[in-house]
Amino acid sequence: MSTTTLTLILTLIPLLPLLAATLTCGLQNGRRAAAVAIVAMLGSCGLAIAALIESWGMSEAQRYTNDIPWLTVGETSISFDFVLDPLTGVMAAMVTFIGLLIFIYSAGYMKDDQRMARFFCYLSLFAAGMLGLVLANSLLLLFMCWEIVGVASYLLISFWNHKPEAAAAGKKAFIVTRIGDIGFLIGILLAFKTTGTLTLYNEAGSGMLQQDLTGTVFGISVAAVISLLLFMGAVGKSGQLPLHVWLPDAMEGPTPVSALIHAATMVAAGVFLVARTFPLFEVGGTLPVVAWVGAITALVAAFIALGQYDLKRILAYSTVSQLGLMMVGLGVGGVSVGMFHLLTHAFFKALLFLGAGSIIHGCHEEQDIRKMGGLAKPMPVTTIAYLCGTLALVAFPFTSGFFSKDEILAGAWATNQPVFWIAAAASLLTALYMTRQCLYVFPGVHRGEHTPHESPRIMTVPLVILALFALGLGGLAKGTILDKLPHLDYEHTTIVLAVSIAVALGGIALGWLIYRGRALGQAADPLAVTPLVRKLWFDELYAATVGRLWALAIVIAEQLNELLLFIRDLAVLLADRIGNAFAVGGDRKLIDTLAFDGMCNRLRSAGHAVTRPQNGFLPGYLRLIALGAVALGILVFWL
Amino acid sequence: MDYQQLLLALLPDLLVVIALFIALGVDYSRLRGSALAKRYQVACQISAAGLIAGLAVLLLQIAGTMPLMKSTADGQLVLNTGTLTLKALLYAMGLGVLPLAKRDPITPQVSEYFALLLLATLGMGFVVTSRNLLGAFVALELVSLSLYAMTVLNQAKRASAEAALKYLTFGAVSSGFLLFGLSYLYGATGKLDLTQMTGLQHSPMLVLAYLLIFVGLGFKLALAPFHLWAPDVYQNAPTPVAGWIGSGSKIAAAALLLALLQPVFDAPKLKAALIPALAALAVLSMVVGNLGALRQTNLKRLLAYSAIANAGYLLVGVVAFSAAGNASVIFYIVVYSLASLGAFGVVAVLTDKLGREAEISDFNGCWNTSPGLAVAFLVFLLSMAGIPPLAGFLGKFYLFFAAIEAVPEAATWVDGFYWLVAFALIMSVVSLYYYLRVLKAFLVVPADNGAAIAPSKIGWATGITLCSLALAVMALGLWPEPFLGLLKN
Repeated sequence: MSTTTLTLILTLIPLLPLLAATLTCGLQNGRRAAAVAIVAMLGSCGLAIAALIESWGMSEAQRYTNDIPWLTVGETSISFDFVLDPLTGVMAAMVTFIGLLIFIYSAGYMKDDQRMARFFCYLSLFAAGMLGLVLANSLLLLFMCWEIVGVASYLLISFWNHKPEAAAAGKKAFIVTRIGDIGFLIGILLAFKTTGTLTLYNEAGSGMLQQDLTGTVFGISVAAVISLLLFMGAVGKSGQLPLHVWLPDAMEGPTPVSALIHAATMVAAGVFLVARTFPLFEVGGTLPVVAWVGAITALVAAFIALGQYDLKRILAYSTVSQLGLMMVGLGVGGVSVGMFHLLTHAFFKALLFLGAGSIIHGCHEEQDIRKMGGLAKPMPVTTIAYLCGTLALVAFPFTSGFFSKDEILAGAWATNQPVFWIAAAASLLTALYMTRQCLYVFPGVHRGEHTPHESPRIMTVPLVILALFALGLGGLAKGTILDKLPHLDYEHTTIVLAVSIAVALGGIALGWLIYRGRALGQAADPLAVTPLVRKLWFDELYAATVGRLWALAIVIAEQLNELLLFIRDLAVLLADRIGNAFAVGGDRKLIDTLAFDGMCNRLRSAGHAVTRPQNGFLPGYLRLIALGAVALGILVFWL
Repeated sequence: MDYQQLLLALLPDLLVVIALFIALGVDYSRLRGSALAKRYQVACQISAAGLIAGLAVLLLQIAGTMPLMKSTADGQLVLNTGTLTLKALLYAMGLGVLPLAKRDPITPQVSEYFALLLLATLGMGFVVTSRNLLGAFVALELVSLSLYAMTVLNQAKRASAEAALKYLTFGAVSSGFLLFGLSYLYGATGKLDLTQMTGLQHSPMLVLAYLLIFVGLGFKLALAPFHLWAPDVYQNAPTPVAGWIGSGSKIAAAALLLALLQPVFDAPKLKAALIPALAALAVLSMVVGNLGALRQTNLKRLLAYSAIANAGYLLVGVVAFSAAGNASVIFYIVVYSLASLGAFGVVAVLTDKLGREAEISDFNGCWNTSPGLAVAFLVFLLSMAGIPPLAGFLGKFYLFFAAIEAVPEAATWVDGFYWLVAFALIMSVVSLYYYLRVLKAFLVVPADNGAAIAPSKIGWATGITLCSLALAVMALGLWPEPFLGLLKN
């Protein structure tokens, strides 16, 4: 493929959804907006697959970069840089493909919403930002797209903003991720100061990730500092402990949004960021930090998921937990391991969310699993698809989740044994909470008020496609992805395989033993103990510490504000006086007094009412030109 | 001299001149006694056809698909991508003025109106492509004379005649200064071609020449203290004409100023002597413009003061005396002119049924009756105020950056231009006050007694003009590099 074609393709991939967003923002008709957005996404998906095929033909360390100049300030120039390598290719193809399926699904899910056109506008904006983020070859462009997806996520979480919870959840997501972004931004600035460029890779080999980063900041290696700061951004975006609190609340948004943004793509952006800047982490020796944060997140989130009753919240905590596992994968096994799990997870978690959406839709917007049950019979397609997703998530042998999780565990066993055991425990809990959820939802009799019904075909077809991927993708893609993306060396041992299968089956068996034959929904749940139901009091903890501090800061800020308002009033008063002086005094009176002729003329012509006073000013005006010229001369020659 | 080459080089101008004569001829022969609206329509169409044809040829010239000489021997014409881009831009903006002029039939002398508009555009095109003292001066006079005459076109309005007289008298005196300065420059160097004036030595005569030039061009750019004509003329000239005075002629004058200062670049002593004069003009213009605008109630008068202030910012880039500074000045004046023409366009559309010069309060509640125009106005004014991501922000940023970079080794803030930039920054904060005051009327304040000002039918030509101006202001702010690349060539 020629470079011009490739540049065009890479530019068009994010541009098509952006165009769709621009077009749909003016549309009223929801169906038309959906059609525009879906067509744009289809085009993007085709191009992304072409790019993926192209990138697959590249040898290792070969990359295609382009450089569209954007801004030049002095010696520094900033450009719209896109990069194509296998990492970009696979991520872009995944985002566009899952995005396309979710767009189609949304056309059915949002069919009755008044603001469907607006919904597709936001979704397209999100897709554009996400694709820009994936393709970006400079940290600045990546950060800008990072913020665009943040805004789109905010808009979509609080899409039903008439619900106060939704509005609050949107704000929470925006603010909590912003805490991580501060670190990210400082990291970018530090990286720019150290390397003099924000471009990741370039032809000349002087890109940020191609340089040797030596030197220290406060006695710590600069690469370590930069990578940890970037990791802060990743922690916020990917919902890692302690900034995970926004992600479960984000489930207030429409379910397709949860599937696209809060399961498959945006929350994985943090993982992607670490993968993109992996050389920094390697050089800085900060991979163990990534692994530990990931492992702890995986375990804690899986614990909390046990005590939840909201169908989507369980999945949300599961997402947090799985994102933790991806971080573990990056930390112990390298880019390929983390990205492999990201990829398989994107498919099966999107499937689970869309399945949950279909269930919620079928149960007339009911989300409490205690009021479900007996859905297997009225919703056969959804049930089977959902069970496929569940199997993949619990890493049942030979589903795609099994292959990717096995890699993570193998890597952890070889490099970091404590992390291995934590990840294994998290996997056991994963199987347990998914079994619990499925037993609540599918078998038995229906406990809700309405009769459940199967969803329309436009929603079930994407489910079936995703189910096929959830089952088969792992086995098919395992070899190629692990080969194409860089990874650390480690051995596979039988013990890892045994533990991996044991925790998956053990978790399912445990769940079966606990919940089988129980009067679900009526009797108390043995696992939903208070600490878990209250999500380990993270929100309360933040309210008591950060919240208090914030309240104090507000009091101080208000006092300060009063002071500033007073100063502002003074300034306005002053400006008012000066302006008055100029308008009334300066322009007229200054010339009046300077221009003697003008004054005399005016006096002389005072009797002639016809003569307008301005005419008399003219010689005065002209005199001022001469005066100005003389003043300039004095300034230059004698001062 | 190769006349075929010359013909090719001047083909855009020839096409415009032909259109001008056709417009005059048709109006005097076939349309004699026709309705005024019809005559405006035809004259506008013919003029537009001429400018579009000229623009098409210019674009071919820029693209390099036409064999084109680089310059004539005496520097009368210097045709490179930079000058041709500016010329094309001026033609395009002139094209934008036409539909605005067509809207409001202020005068029965229809074809003269459009002929003068075309002549002014032609003149501007010559100013930006000429590097010869005489050629540039004559072209500038062509611009000025056309603008004087257009100011007075509305004979029904007494204030208009008064403003035109003031403009003419002022212009004549300033032209005298400019010509005086140019003749000293010629006397000191013995050359008319600016590109050949190299190795200038510092001499009082040269300093004097440049001071006189500053006075002359200070009038065209409305620099304080040579600005006194501007508020009256902006207020009382027909709105499209005021828009053209405030945009196209500014670009021409700024380009000429840079061309005239080019020989000074490698004469450090001369440069050092001129900088205080330029800096003083800059400070004075910023003060007078920004503070004068604070209390204006008439919108066009306010825009005049804003023009004075913007001319002050412009000089901040000029004092840098660097390639980056020159690029920033051109970028800024282009961006400012686009926004200014757009703002006048919106005012023209909104007030052509009003029958008097509009006060700011006349625009109250505009958001409700014409949201599109209000949004366009928002874009133009915020760009002038320098709010990102609009182009005005980048323009100011480049200007100030160039000024600071000009003296990179400045040890204290008085050595370099830090003080000047700081002053300009403070003044742009002040300017926010009056820009936002206008926008508040457009967007926030409800109409008095419920009846907001309503435009007559906008029409597709005006709509396209305003849309493309607004889009240009946004696009240059988001992606300036291609345009800057064209200018730098």
